[in-house]
Amino acid sequence: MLGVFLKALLIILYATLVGFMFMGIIRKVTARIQRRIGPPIYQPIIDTIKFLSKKENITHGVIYDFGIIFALGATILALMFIPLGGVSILRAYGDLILITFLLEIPMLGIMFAAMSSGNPYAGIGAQRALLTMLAIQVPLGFAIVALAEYYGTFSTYEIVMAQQAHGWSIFHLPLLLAAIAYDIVLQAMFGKEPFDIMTAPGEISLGPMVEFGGKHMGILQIQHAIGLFAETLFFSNIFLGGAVVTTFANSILNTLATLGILLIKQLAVLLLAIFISTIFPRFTIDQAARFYWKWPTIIAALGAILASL
Amino acid sequence: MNELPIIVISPLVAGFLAWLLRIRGVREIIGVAGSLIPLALLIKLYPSLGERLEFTINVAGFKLGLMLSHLTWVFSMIAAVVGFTAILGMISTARDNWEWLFALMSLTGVLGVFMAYDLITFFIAWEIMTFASFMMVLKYNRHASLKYFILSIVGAYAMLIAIGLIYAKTGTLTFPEVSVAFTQDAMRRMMGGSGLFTKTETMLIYGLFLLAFGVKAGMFPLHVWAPDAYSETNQSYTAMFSGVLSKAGVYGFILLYILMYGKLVVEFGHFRSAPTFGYIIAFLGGLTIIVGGILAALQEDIRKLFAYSSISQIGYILVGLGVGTALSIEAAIYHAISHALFKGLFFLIVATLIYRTGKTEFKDFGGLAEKMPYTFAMAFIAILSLAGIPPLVGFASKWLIFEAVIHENLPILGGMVFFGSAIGFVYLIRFTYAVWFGQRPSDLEGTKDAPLPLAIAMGILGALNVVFGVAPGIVAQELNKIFDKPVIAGNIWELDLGFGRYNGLLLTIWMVIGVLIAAIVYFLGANVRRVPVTDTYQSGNPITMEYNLTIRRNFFLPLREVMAFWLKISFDRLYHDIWKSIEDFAETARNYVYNGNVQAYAWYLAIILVILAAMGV
Amino acid sequence: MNQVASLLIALPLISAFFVPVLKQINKSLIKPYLVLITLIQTGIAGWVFKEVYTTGKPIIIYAGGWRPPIGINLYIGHFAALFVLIIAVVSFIMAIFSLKAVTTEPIDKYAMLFLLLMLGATGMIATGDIFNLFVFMEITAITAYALTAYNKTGEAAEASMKYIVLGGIGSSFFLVGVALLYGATGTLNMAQLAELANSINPIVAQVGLALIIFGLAVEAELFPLNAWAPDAYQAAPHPITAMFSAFVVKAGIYALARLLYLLQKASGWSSILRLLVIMATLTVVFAELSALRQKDVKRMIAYSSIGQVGLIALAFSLGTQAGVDAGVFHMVNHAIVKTLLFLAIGYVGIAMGGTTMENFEGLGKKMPLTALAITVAGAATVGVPLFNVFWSKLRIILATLQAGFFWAAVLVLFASVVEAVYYFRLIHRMWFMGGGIRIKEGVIAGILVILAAIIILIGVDPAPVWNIVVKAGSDIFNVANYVKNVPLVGVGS
Repeated sequence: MLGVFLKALLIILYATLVGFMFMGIIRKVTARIQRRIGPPIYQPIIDTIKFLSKKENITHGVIYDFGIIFALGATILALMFIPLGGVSILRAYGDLILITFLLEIPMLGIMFAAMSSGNPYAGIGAQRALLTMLAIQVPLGFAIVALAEYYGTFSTYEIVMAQQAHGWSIFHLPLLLAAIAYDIVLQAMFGKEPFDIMTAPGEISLGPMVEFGGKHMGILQIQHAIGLFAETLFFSNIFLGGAVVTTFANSILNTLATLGILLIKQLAVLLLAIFISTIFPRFTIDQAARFYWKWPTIIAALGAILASL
Repeated sequence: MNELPIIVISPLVAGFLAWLLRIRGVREIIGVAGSLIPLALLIKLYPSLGERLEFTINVAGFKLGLMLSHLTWVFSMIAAVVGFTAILGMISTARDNWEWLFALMSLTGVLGVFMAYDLITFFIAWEIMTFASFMMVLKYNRHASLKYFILSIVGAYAMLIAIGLIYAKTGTLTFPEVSVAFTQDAMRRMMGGSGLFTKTETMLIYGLFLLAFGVKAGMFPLHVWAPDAYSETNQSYTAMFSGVLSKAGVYGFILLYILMYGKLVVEFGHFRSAPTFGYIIAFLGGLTIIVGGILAALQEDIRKLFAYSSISQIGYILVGLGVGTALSIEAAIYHAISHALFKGLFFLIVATLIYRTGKTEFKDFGGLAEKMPYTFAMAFIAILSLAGIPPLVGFASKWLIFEAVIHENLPILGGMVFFGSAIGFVYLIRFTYAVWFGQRPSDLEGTKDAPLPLAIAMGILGALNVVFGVAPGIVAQELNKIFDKPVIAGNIWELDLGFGRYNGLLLTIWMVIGVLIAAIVYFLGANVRRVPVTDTYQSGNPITMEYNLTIRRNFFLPLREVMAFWLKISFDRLYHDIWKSIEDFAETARNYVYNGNVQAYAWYLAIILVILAAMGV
Repeated sequence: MNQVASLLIALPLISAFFVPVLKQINKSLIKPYLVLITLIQTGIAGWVFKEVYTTGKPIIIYAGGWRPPIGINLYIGHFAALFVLIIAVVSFIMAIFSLKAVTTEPIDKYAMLFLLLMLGATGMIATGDIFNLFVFMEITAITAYALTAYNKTGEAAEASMKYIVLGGIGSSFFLVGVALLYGATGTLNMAQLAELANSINPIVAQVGLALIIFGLAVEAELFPLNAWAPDAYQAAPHPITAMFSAFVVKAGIYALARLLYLLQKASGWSSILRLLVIMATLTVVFAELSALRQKDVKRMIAYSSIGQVGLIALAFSLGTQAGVDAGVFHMVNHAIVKTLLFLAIGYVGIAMGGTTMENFEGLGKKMPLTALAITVAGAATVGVPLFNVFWSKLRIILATLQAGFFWAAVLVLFASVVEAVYYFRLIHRMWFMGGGIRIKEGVIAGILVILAAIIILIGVDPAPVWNIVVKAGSDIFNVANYVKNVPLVGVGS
């Protein structure tokens, strides 16, 4: 029991740390592309510590607080289910659909909290976030369906294992299509251009996040960090082969090697997202919806149909 | 067993008594007793479900029967539980005696439908149910009720024709005998011979039943009556209307499987891995999910939003039924149960809201979470359940349907189902934002929380939502008994399908842990200070409470713009136009035929004589 | 004792001609006298009913003591006993209603015509001789013509004229058909006609049967020969309309069915059946469609009545035992329901001063008992379970499908949907539109409630009535039995 808790704590800490690193990397790489120097990679950590140590915080009601807590809690919960090398705790129950759902729940919590503040910017932000989520469901659904049909199982862990034997998912055509669609969906899930309509900084003042400050913002940052980690990890696991290293005799070295390989794959995904986001401007929400319901849907649907044959 | 007719008849008798005795306190007690008796008897009969429980009676040449098996027990329990809570709700919201009579009459009807043993009992109960629910709507809105009644009657008569055809060909009406007749027919066809029913006749019977059950279940494109009918009636009753009566349609589809499965498979074959006739049902179900969901998101009236949401959820059940494997049918029944639970809860909440505030449109609501905390807590549970968020029962059933559908390699259906869950999020947030959060209009300042009967009713349904969510195996094991084999393995906390697992308890525990960790981080920070809703970031604009700060109207305008093309297609208008043309035709026909001119009438006689002559010679 | 049954014919006849005497004594005695006579008739009919159903044997009366086929005989079998009772009861109720409803002069002629109408219908059903049938049919028709015009409005006169023209043509053809059959078989007795049916020249049989059916179809209100009916129903005094709908048309249908089945051995029978099915189905469809946009409630119910009669005719023209049973059941149910409806509408007409839609607004508040009765009858007609018509409609549909007439069933059900629409519009108008203060409702309301209770009673437990109806049905369908029961003296071909 204690071992399990310890493992969970370690996973959370690792995820938080790496997540903040990712946030820092995003800022640094974006800056470099824009020919600036950019803040140091550990900047997000400093920012979050600053947020959490503010002397005063405001709230707009119980839901306002609870929503944030719930969002972070749900993200942590999602993290528990994704296979992280040999370390994950609940990977036997890591069902594709369960994880997809759990990754969407934090958004629900944030929206509850944002809406309860009564700020109209938050309201518009919530509306756009919801519609974005609605838009991405279709290609996302088809991609998941393609995966499940191709491998005949829903367990993420078994998919990782299968990829060890048959090669990465993206080497198979139907799953390549699914991966392309899912990657486009990831763009929206990260909240990066061209699908950052929900935050739309400069237009609606960060949308749902506008009212949050102090420790609420701090918790949100942690949530974003873990969320980034979890989403990239999930993608790496299902499409890029995950990592199960058994070459070393020592289990700790195995674990470190697994985590390292996963880190590299996650970075690849992240960098791809950053590159795309720096080039594109923002879609409006109806453009975004129309876009998602056209090409990514077609690609993902094709992938699903091909996978089911 | 003699309890069976008591289960079915007692609500009607109670309703009749409640209508006769117009004393306020007494009629409520009689009404609640009338809905409690079936529930109590059903629970009492549960242990003896292993033996066949039957009751037959000969009425005017027909042998009518009632039967209680695992399947019918499950459905009857849905009816009894949700019916009971709805009647409890009606204590607060019912306005006059008629409503008691007809609400209880419809409960009788639906119990009769579920427990029917032969086609005539089924039809009689079906008609009683339709008539009673129609009368509940008639008072509020004539147009909506007539639309409902006509569509339902068309469906019911389609069923009557199908029953008549079956009776004409097989000479029998009881379920077991009809099922045997069809199976024998299927085997004869498989051997290469010709059966009792030709292919066209089978297709006809299938189509007629599809029409009948589709109307009641609210399947696209026969769903047009549901939004109006669900909105324009006593909202406590809608908990039963939408939660239970639509399940009668679902039960009808299951009956189709029980009676005619072999025959339909032999006649129409398979499409991919699902039987063709089932795929049609599933595909229409998928369309129902999408259409219902998108229209729900665009509504401005709270009752209509949930009406469309009901339609959308029934789509899920139909998808599960259509796929046709034991697992998918179990998933569908599971979703029927969970839908009855959370949709019933939602309509009771709506009833409370309307009862306390008197408003029905989103633009009049706002900021009620503080004034009605208990109702809000219930709404929170219901929202999580409908959105399919673990660990509530909505997630368990949706997960089962996903798994069952995708496992059968049906990608299009899988995509539709996925889309449906997202759209659920969408309209629920709309509901939450407009009603519970944000700025409160000044005329809602004095709103009180739910009255006691409604609170009890909501509490019952809410508790069931949570219990069945954390321990989904309880329901799964019951459902397994229907099929007599462990289709869904695992214990009461866990659902194990072999290719996917879900453990409710484990998830709950870890979610609590996660939230605890987050809470710890939260409390590490400084204390919070409450600020009013006017103290938000407004880019420097000073604002007061007179400004409307919440987007309550037309929340999903961008969605409406994106879907503008598809929204122009409206089956409602189509049916309306068809009916109008029938009426106009009737008027024209009457003016031609019965034109008041006696010479014309004399000519009619002459024409008939000519026809007679032509026939004879 | 069986001879008492002959009072069924004699009583109304004598009392009708006693009315002028009564008028000389005291004019105000006439209406109570009417009530008395119908009450006695009901008593006799009840006794006859009990006799026939307990002993199971039909009562046969020889007119003048001459055995058939030399003499005319009355044949009061199960069906006749049932319907004579219904006629008597309905007449009794309508006599009570006439106390208030009919105030136009000359009231003595009204009473005479009333009694003769009752007599004519009773005679049509009870007779065993085809020419006697014609005589009674003419009595019924002529009194009906007169009663239609009784209200002395222009509309009534016009309706009566249409009725006369069409009824006259129909009767003439009926007579020609009878003459043909008489010429071919030499007998007018129905039992003997049945026996000799297949020995007639087929063409003569066909033509004769066709003309007889044609003539009866006018009286039985089959499409398109029923065009006189809506006008006649609307223009006649309220009690008379109820009688038309409850038994006059039923007598016509009965005669149609009886002769149809008696002559079933004639060639071309099945094609006549098919024609009748088509006509009956069209009756239902066109009647219900026409009722849809009516502004006058009495006319609307008249169309509905025609539609239901079409349904009965459809049941009879199927040619199966199940069909006949279903048809008889529907006849009984329809009689009860339409009596209630026309009684109620007439009552509203007197109380509110008219029968247009506007008069029915807010009836739920002004005359709740009446409105309740109309609601029960309306729901019953549509065919909702727990009311009596459901069972008979169900049987008719099943029988139609069993006989293979798929499209007839579909069209009839479509007409039912239409029916539901206009009845429920009426119910909505009564309860949920308009308002008013409560008016005192008298004895009539009591009768309405009793009838409504009977409707619900039969709806919940149809078994006793169904058993009676099955016996009545086999009376019509089982021709061999019929022939056997009539002691024919063997006379030449």
